[in-house]
This record gives sequence, C-alpha cells and structure tokens, in this order.
Amino acid sequence: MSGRPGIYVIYRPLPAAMLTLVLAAVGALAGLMLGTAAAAALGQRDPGTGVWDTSSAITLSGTIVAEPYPMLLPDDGAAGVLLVGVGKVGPPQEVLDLIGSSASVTGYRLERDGMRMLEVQSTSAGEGSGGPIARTPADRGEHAIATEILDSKCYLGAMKPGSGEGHQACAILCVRGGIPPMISWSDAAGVRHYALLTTAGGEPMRDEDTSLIAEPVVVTGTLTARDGWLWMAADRIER
Amino acid sequence: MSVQYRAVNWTRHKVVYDLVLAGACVAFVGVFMVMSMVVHPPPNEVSPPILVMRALGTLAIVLLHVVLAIGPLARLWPRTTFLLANRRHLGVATFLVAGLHAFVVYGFYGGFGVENPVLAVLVRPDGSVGFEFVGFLALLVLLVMAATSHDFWLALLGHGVWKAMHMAVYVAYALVVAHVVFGVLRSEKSLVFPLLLLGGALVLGGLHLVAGGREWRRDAASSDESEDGWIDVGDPHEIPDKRARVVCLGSGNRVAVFRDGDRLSALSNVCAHQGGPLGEGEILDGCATCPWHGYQYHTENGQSPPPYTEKIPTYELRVRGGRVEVNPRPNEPGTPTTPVSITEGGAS
Repeated sequence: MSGRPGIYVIYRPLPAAMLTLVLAAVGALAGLMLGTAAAAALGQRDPGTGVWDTSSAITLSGTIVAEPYPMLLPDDGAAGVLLVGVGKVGPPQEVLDLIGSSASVTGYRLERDGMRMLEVQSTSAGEGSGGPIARTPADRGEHAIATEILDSKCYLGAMKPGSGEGHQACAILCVRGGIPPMISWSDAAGVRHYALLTTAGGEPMRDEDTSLIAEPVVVTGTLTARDGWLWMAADRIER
Repeated sequence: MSVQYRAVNWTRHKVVYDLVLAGACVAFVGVFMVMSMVVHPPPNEVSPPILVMRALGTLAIVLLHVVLAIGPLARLWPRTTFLLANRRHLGVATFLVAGLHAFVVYGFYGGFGVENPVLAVLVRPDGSVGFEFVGFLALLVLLVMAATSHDFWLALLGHGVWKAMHMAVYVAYALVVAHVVFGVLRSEKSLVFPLLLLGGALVLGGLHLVAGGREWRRDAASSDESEDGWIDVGDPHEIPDKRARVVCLGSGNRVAVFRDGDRLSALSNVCAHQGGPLGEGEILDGCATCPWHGYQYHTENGQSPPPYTEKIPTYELRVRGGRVEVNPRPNEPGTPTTPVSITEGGAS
C-alpha cells in the first residue's frame, strides 16, 4: 500500500486515519472565516450618534412651515423639526394641508447632534392662529464646502451610517421622494456643522443634482441661519 | 454515482458537509453582528438591516474564496480532496448567500420609496450604473452556475462544455472584486477591507500559480518517447500498489497507469463525470476510483461497474527492459485491454 490514509470517497465510510485531518482542516477553515467576520466587523466606520426612536411616538405642537422643506416650528421656540413621511417620502398630505397653520404632529423622532425630524404618524390642527411667523434669516456669508450630499432622514438615524458610496442609491431615492437633502462638514476646530441644501433661489434641490448625492463634492453658495438650522443656497455643486 | 435523476444524491457525508457549512454561515453572521455591536454599541450602532447586508455580503465573498481555493488546494495536497467532493453545494450556498445579500440591499436601500426597488438600486437617475450593477452581474453569473450545477446539466452538456462554462466563476470573482473596490472601499476608510481583499487575491493567485506550475513541470518531465512512439512511464515497481502514475502524452492528454498487485493497466486520466484527475485516486473494489466524487472504472476496460454506464478510453501498455511504456494512441472508451505484468520484459 502507499502508506497514505486512503482517498476520501463521499459514499464510503471515512477512513479512520483521515478523521484528524478532516477535523483540522474544517477547524482551520472555520477559524479563518470567523476571523474574517470579526475583522470586517471591527473595520466598519463609526456610524455616528443618529437616533430613530420607534419605541414610542411623540407629539409636538407648533406651526407648520414649508420654505422649502416642511418643518414644524415648535411653540416652545426650539429649533425647527423636519417633517417626513413613513418610508422614503416627504410628509403626508395632511401635513401639507396645514402649512402656515398651528398643528400638533405625532410621529417617531429622528435626531442627530440636536437636529430633529419627525416621521409623521398623524397630524391634527392646533388651537393657535398659525399666523405669520418672524423667521428672519441671519446671513453667514459665501462658502465653498467640501462635503457629501446626504439624505437627512437616513443620516439623522433611519439608516446609519447613512452616508458614503454604499448608501448612494438609497440617498438618491430618499431625496427624489421628498426627504430634504443636507450637507455636513467639520470646521478647522473640528466642530461638526450641518446645513439643509437648497437651490440658489431657496427652492428644493433640483432633480439633476441628485446624481451628485453621496459623491465627494464642493458645494459653493450662501449660508444662512434660520429656524435653528443652517441653510446652504447652492450656486454650484461640483465633483 | 447515479443512474437515475435525483435532486441530490444524499449521503451521510453530504449531510454532515452541508450541516457544517450551514453552521459556519450562521456563526459567521453571528460573529459579524456581535463584533459590530461590541465596537459600535447601542444607541450608536450601525442600523441592523445594514449590518445584515454587510454580514451576508462579506460571507458571500469569503465563501467564493473558499470555492476557488479548493481546486488548487486539492491538487497541491490531495488529502484535502474531501473539501472538493461536495464543492457544488458550497457553490450553491455562495449564490444563496449572495442572493440574500442582494435581497436585503434591494429591500432596504431600494425599498420604501417611490420607484421600483431593484431599478432604484441598479440604475442612477441619469441612466448611469454604479457598483451595485457590477454586483448584480456577479450574482447573475453565480445564478447560472448554481442553476446548472446538477449532474443533469453535466450529462446534457458533457463535462468539457460544463466545466468550461463553470470557469465563469472567475468572471464572478473579478466582478465581485470590482463591486467591493467601487463600493465598500470608497465608503469605508479602514485598511482592514483593502487588506482582506488583497490578502484573498494573493492567496488565490498564489495557490493557482503554484498548482499550475507544479502540473506544468510534471507534464514536461514525463514525455520521453521510445523510437516507435511509445511513452516511457518509468519503473513499474515505483508505482505504489492500488495507485497510479500519471504521464502526459505529446498530445497533452494524460494517462493514468494503475498498478493492482503485479498487474498494470492504463486509463485516461480524465474522469467521465467532471473531468477529475482519475490518476490521483486509487483502486477500490477492483476499480480505479476518482478522488473527486468516487466514480469508478474497471482498470482493464475503462467501464464503470453495472448498473453505471460511464466509459473512458483505455491505453495499451508494455514492459521493456524493466520500464513500462504506454501507447499514446487511445482506445475507444470502454475498450478491453490485457493488463501487463510488472515482471514482463525482463523487469528488474
């Protein structure tokens, strides 16, 4: 005989001398696989501090505005809360019907670094008049910001990390569906800033710009502060 | 071996193989999820659907590497052939895991919106395509291979065509690499991912080069011809009992010269099933047995024992001056030959 343990034949009993080899090979392969799983898991970037709390809905009261993205300006004077629908769409018609009016909006909270959004579950007209609101913007000047265009719902917590090439298709779908686009960048001191993105004229982002979502881009335009948010009115968006 | 159609010819080994494979897949996803939660614990965790799609995508790539490594591994270290015996189940598992990955991606990245979920992922609004489309192409290749993996297709197409078709696994691998480079590597900054991808490519490339190089050297060293064109096989006593020596003919065909006691017989080295290296098997139950899937052939006529019907070419042998020689002209598959004795012709 050859002195080898015999060949492995799938329909015959395993030669006894091969058992140790089989166990060792399977163990080595399993170890390699699980080691790869651990390494790949540990290599993932930090998804950030976004929250999507679907454990209980909250109700906020205030005035609904929509220039250009639907938002609730709370009665307590806190920063505006973006309003979106269930899924990758803007808020439901019942919200749009109450633009300019006082309302109570119930929904699930999304929040990152103090910026809030409600995924609207229900809306009811409020008791206040919902009359004109002073929303004077503060000019922050012209800027050219190297950034990435994000969809605010995923980035605030619905689909963490909600950024990067891997998330591009989802982000495009969200923005095309009515989710407000936003940008994020760090200043020289390392402080993170966020701004909702509009056209130069303050309109919702153009459809042709959606192909630049989740790409490294430079957004040039005018920054203003309003309703507790920064807004970037983009003159140019370039790769 | 089989003489009738069955979805899967289950054996105890296949059941154990598949259970181990399934367990490894579940453990992989579990380790990925747990380690992800450890490094980014709640409430600052990666969203669960994304974790699942990442875990499944990574697992599919790892399985594809294992599938591709098994072939050269078995050539370099024949004792690892047991990994190869059920490789098709591993290939189908790779497709299923990749398909699940795509399903989760289409569901969560493409779903819940105002467009078709699959198209939303595959095609950008300007008509261009991204890395997802490359992954989709890889999945299509894996689908075709999984769908045609059964012996039914092997018998229908013949192992030459079938094998050539299934070499498309290398196309799938190239597409998967591109999918990762243009997707993951553009999003993730950790060096872990390029290092894992590069490491996998180096291991696979190295295994294939070493295995191919060894085979090439062996073929080049075994083509000495006598004056009448017969090919020298060597000293018959050096062929281990119940095993074979493989020689390469000038035509590039390989012959397996089997020794069974003091008798020698020559068969094509190519198994009629999947083209496995018959000469790397051994004689069991009086038959040359392929190390890949256990297909058997009588050494004196190249025919599978009844009720099986496979046949492979046989070759004439002679022993002269203590050396065994093979006639390079193959006989028709299944042609009986007379075994020669190792002591014929003045053997030492």
